Amino acid sequence: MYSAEISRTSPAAILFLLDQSASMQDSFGGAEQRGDAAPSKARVLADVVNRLLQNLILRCAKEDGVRDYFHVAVVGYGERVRPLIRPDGSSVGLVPISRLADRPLRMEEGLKDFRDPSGGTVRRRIRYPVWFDPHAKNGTPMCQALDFAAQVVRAWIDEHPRVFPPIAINVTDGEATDGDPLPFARQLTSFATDDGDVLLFNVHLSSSEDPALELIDSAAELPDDEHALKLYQMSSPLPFSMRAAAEHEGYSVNLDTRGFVFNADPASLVRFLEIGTRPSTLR
Amino acid sequence: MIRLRTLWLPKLGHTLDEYEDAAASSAPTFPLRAALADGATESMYASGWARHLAAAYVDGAVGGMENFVEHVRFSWRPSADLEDVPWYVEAGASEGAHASFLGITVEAGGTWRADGVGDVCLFHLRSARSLSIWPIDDPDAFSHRPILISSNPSDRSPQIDRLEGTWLHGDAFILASDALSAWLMRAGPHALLDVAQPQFRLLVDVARRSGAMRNDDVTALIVSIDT
Repeated sequence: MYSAEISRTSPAAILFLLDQSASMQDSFGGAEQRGDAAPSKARVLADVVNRLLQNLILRCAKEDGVRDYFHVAVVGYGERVRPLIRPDGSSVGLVPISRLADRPLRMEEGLKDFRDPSGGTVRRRIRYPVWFDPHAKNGTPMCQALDFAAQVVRAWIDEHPRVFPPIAINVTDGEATDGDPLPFARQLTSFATDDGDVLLFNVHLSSSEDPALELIDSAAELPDDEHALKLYQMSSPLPFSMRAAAEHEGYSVNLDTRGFVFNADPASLVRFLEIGTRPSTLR
Repeated sequence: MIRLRTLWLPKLGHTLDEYEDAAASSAPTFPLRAALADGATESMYASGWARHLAAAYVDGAVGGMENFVEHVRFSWRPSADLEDVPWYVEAGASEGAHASFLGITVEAGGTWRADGVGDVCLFHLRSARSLSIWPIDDPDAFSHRPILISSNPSDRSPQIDRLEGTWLHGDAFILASDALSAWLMRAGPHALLDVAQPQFRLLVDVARRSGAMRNDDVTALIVSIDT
């Protein structure tokens, strides 16, 4: 289980479900900067996911092109549930990663620090791709988003019945406003390939000063909060390759460890996304 | 008196252009130099870098191994001119290529030495025995993240480990990339000694299908010193 190889003929599917509700305009709880200077959760999330997409592409990139080891979807839910990335305008579902690589929304320029051979740092202009911009408006139709994900995943599995199971990563800062998401989460993870059930991970973005709760293996570790419990119940246990990735990041994990973070700050969001997008070690 | 043979297959499900191991050897006379490098899939130019490392070792132009990493980094010219390339080629090229590596030099006087970084393994065989299996000798000890030699001059130079020994006529050395090495540790390295490429293909196919061998590029460079 969860051991299927990732290759161009057996790609892995990764779906990001991103909360774009009005409260995402606020900054992270416990943020160092306050007020107008602090970036919003929506801004940080867009930056983090855009950078993660870059890194996923680089994992697959060779000098002659990008190998389609991954198919990716990024879905926002707020004012509407809609795909945030449509490189050829029409696709609604999972897109081969080479198409993402070839068609970012735009290229931006920034400065990046590089080590130079003498050990010092040199700052250079680099250009980097962006696929979507932050957006924050209205409520949190998480049930609808999970339902949409289930449809995308079902169609994918019809075409790829034996591959590593699709991975859905839901990032939210609050509760669903369109009902109880747990049955929708269960519907999503009821789909399966020959290699196992669809995986659903949940990252809750912090609005408080409380520290992040990362990769726990028991509901007993949760704060007394219905919402935390619900998201925990919605989260799948980590498969082997991700447990190995988590250990590499310094976490101690076991077979019950769930793909779940509560009260995430930007750093724990980044760490989790790195772990949750390792369906295998490509090496 | 010295026989050299290379057996190799790309990962099942991959095409030949996705094969990222590289083997190189000098002419079959003393001093005999042979090397095997295993390019990291997530690196750009992984196969080119692996070929570069193996060729540089066999060339012997480096001098001592203490200069090897600097030499290979300095002499590395990835083929693309980076002027007009997609953003991911530029970014990938700046991250550099990575590979694990093992080289062996066998001298006429009866000594040999091996130098390696990462998880390419050396098997020194005499009659039915394995005198050395190095640097890893436990099939469960292969990690997903071995130490690698990177092409980026800003990266730390990894330590190159050395093993030395003596040889007798009739000995054989096998250099093998990690998935094949792990399998050889269980199946017995002598399994490869009299095998040609067609039988190798069959043997690997059976081993992969039964789960006994992890699906990955496999390469073995076999050096036999006849009596």
